Amino acid sequence: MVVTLQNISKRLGNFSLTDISLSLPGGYITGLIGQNGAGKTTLLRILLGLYRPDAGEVRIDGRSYQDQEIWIRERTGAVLLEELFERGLTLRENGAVYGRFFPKYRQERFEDFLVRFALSPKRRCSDLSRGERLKLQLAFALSHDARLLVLDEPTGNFDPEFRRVFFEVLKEFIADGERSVVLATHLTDDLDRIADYIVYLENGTGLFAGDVETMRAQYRIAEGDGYRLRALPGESVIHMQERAHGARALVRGMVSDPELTFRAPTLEELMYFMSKRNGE
Amino acid sequence: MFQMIARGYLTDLKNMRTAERPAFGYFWVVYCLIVLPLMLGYFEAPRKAVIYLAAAIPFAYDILQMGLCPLRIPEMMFLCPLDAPMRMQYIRGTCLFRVGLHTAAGAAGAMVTLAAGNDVPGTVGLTVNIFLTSVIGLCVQGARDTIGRTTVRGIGAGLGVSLQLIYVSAAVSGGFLGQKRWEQAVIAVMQALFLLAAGRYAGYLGAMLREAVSYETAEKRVKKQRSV
Repeated sequence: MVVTLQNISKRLGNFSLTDISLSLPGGYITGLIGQNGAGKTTLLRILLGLYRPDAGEVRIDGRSYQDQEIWIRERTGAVLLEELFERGLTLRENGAVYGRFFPKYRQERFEDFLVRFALSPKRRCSDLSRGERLKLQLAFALSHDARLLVLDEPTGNFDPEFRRVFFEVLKEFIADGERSVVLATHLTDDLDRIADYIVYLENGTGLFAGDVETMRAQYRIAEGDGYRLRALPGESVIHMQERAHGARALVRGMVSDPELTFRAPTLEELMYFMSKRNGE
Repeated sequence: MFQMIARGYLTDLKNMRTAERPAFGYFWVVYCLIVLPLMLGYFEAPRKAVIYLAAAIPFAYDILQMGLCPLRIPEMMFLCPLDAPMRMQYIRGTCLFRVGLHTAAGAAGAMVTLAAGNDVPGTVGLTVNIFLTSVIGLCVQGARDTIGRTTVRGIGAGLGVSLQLIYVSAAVSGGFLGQKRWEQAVIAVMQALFLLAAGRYAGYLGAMLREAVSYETAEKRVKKQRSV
């Protein structure tokens, strides 16, 4: 599913999301990255039609929430940090209660995922830990044949073992080339391996939106002596970090220096240097 | 839609076991069903006990629901394939279902008091009271605006409920079973005040329902309620 956001703005108290435009391709895993408070959750809620933008519009496969909300929701699964399911019901009962709304929901599939995620369908929702509640949401989202999966920072609550299962599940999910995943996180290690497309938000504005390869071609980490880095054209150095032995910098464009080594940045490095670029 | 609403109600009942604020609801249940009748000696004669319990059980249940099961659209329902008109239909239906069910329970209790010797005005009065308490309960759950207003409304509802308790006590302890004229007058004034309060609270209902169908405003309301 193709997700298009056009000139999205949203004000919430002191925070505002400003003029976000992007088009997320279908069949890929999109990583939405940024520091805490960058606007990732707000953007995801707009994408899910939970928040109405002050300006701009969201289209999913060309359809908007105003015109075809039911069509979109039938095809969208979500994992959010808040508690979505009923505390007093068992996992099985929760699936049965909310599965009725989705035409393609299958209870057996839901329970299979629960077992795969090491959750007993007989447990009551109130007995689950935070990570387990997110697993429950994921199991449900995968059980109604969603075409778009929207996930708000789930990985931080998963143990390392389940994190591996989680990324396997995401890869299986997009394997047919028609489904898409939007995953917001500030833990970027895993995204480095699986994300095809990156949206980087900072203070409510979009700094970068593009595929990972383009990002890696556009930005590089230069490492070497500080004086060599300082000699690079100023406009190409986004931020430089002095260290005990040498220095490193995030640079933009095709600068070169035989005394320096250049390599592709990790997403964490990209986020770090971008956030420091104005001397913060 | 009716099935969906009935299932939602049952889910709320199951959620009561894990409610975040159980103390308020359970306090009133214990107070209404044990402490108050003991204090006023309702359990001394079997007939008085039957009349009291038949009136108080639906009332206590109503208060318990008010405290533990806020009127809401479950979070998950905002992500289900429903549109705004369907969500509005759901929440309106839930209001009617709750008020209807609680009033029916109150009426059943009132009929028992009638069979046990209460008079007709007392029986009607008890039923009307359960209806009004249900309406106030719905509106209190939907408290919104500023924290100050929420508090004022909560205190108002608390006073209303307390007056109701006095009324129920009077009605079943002989208030309508041959009490003096001045007592009848006091009860009538209280009833009128309660009717006015219920009307005032019901005025909030429209705005509250409009807020409940939007995730954004419903979320704000929940945050404010939690901060009080």
